[in-house]
Amino acid sequence: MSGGHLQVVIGAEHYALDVTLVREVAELGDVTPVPGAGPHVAGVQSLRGELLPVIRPQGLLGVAAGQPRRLVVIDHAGRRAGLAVDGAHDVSELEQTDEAAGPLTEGAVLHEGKLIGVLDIPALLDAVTGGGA
Amino acid sequence: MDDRLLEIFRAESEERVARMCAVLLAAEADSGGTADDIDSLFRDVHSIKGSAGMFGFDAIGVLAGSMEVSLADARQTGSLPGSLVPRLLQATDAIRAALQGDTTTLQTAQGGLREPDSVRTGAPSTGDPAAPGTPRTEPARRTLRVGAEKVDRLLATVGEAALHQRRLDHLVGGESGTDAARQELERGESLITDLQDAVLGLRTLPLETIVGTLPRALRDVAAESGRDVRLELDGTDTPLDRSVLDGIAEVLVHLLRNAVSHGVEPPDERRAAGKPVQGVVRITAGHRGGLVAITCADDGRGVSAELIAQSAQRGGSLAGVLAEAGFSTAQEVSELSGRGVGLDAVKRHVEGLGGALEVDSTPGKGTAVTLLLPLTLAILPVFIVERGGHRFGLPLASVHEALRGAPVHELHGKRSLQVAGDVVPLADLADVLGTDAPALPDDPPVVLLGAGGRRAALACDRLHGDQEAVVKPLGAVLGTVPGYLGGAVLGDGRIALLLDPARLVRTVADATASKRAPTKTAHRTPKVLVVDDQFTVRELERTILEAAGYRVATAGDGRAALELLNNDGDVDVVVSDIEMPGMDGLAMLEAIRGQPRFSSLPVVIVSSQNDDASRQRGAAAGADAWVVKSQFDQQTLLETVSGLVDLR
Repeated sequence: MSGGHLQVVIGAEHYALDVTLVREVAELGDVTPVPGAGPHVAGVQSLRGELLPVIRPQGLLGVAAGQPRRLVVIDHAGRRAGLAVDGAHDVSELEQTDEAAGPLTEGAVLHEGKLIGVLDIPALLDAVTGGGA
Repeated sequence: MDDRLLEIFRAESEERVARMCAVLLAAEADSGGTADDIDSLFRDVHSIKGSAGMFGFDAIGVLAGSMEVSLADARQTGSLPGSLVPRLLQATDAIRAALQGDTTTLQTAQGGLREPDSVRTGAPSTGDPAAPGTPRTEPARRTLRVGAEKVDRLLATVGEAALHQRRLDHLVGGESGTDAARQELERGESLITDLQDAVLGLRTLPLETIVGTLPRALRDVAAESGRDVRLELDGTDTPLDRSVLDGIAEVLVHLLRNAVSHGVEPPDERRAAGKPVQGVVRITAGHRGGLVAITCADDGRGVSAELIAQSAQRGGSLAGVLAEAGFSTAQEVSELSGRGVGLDAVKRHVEGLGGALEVDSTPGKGTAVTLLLPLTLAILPVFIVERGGHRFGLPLASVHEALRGAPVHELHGKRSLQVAGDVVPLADLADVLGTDAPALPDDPPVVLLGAGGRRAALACDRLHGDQEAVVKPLGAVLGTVPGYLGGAVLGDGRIALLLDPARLVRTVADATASKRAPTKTAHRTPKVLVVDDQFTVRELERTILEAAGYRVATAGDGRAALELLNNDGDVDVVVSDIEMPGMDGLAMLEAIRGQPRFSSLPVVIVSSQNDDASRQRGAAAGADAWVVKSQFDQQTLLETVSGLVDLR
């Protein structure tokens, strides 16, 4: 996997997302819970008048809890959602990797002294949608 | 023919003609234009061809058909010959004139298109006003095309006026007011109600206002293609925002044409396949997860197995594969459904509205094409209730009344409310939604709901009354969560989830008495879930807790604990280690807190870590208590747990 990736911090860990799937980075606002939406959906947030599902990725990734403040808005094949993250940093070119590091990552790379998991966004969205039943 | 529909057709076609002119002029300036330009022209001309005939503008349809033929070559080569552009422009002008009632130039334009590259006759002929199919030539009824945002602003202002009216009523309409003042206030109120209805009427119409043309379209297509088909319509009372509805008639005609000429087999073939000779095309409409779903399904031959395999390879989107420009499911291209351009245009249209297109097909059994259209623009009167600090909306149409103080009965653990001699099942809204909330006060306010011929009563913390709300879809990610029609952003910026009354009524009927009922039910032994990867620790904690009279369940890591919690809603408190393989304690805690019904489930962390940073992380994740393993003793654990369980 190469190309531009947005680096995010989730809990104390570093992850990266394919920048072509990122629409914007916004502030995490007031989230209204959606009963029955599953453990990984924090709820919905209003973003400029539209409702956006907010995904809490900690449980999915097995990451220790952090203090999410930012919202990374992702869109894959019409599925739009916000990923609650502790921080979103610069976009960088990551080295190619094909070593699967977990079910929801495409691989992991060492970059500037940090181990970064490259998130598999379609799989992440599948996992959230599946968890809603 | 409904004049309103005719106006919609006219307005739409005029828009198309204007776009075609612009594209043609740009193509001329740009020596031939791009493939996109040609595709755009082709779609517009195809759409005009398709609908003109249905509205009695047969001559326009014929001309558009000729334009389509001229464009077919250009579509192959990807470039418009310079000599074709003026002739297409002439035809476009003729269509525009004909839409406004002047059909005299249609024939000339038709002739111009037929002559291959030759010099056109300069003088326009007089045309033939009596040509067969010449539409009515009376002047068009006056209509206004108004931007949706202007109507929205009008609606918002009317809402403000209604609020102002209420304040005024409060100030001068009470005891102190004169009879004359009260009369004027009443008059004002009824005027505002009329105004509100009128503005809403500008925005929404039931689907049935546009399906009137479909039986005729079906008959024509069936006759021309030698099929025996009947049309069934269902759910046409589903309201749609006007700006969404506008283009849908045309889209449905496309789908109908495709269903008949590419889907339903000729009678012989059906007989040979052991199917009823008469095919069925069924158009159904209804709500689906905050969207309006309109499905056009046929019982014809379906698409080929190869196509389905091909779509599976490409991510399972049959709609995407079928909609590719120039694609046609019939082997020989039928004149009726054109060049398979239908679905491409449909997909673009639906997606342009923020909706989606779904195609489902079984070879030999039939094809169903579903338009998922957003309610984004729909305005719905909703009744707002509050439970556990959150607001929820109910479509006002489903709310029968708001009550308080009606007698409550309980039988077989199910509660019911006595309403005027009837008994209606009663439940706490929090129980119905499976969410966590503090116990209701004695004699809580209740809202009486009706849906699908059944009634149910829901107890809430507070009722906030009704308001007009702009309902937004929850989006594709939450589309599978049952029970919601969407969400509305309220005046104060808070979000009210819009609940599906039909599902609520069903759930209430099945729900048993609330666990949070203020009346103390039989004492239940609290259950503790112990989570630790070390068997010895787990067993030690279990022994201590069981000896103190608790029921205990155990799990070896976070994931197992979550699974257990989800399958067994019976747990009253969780006692967990932090460092575990797989999902650790804090991640588990985060996941627990992420689930509204567990948002206040007490969680005790038992850890060997005792530094401030760890404790802070635990507190941030929502831990209720922190027990350090090195200081662990029976007394501390029991005191911590009993403190938390008693709090509930």
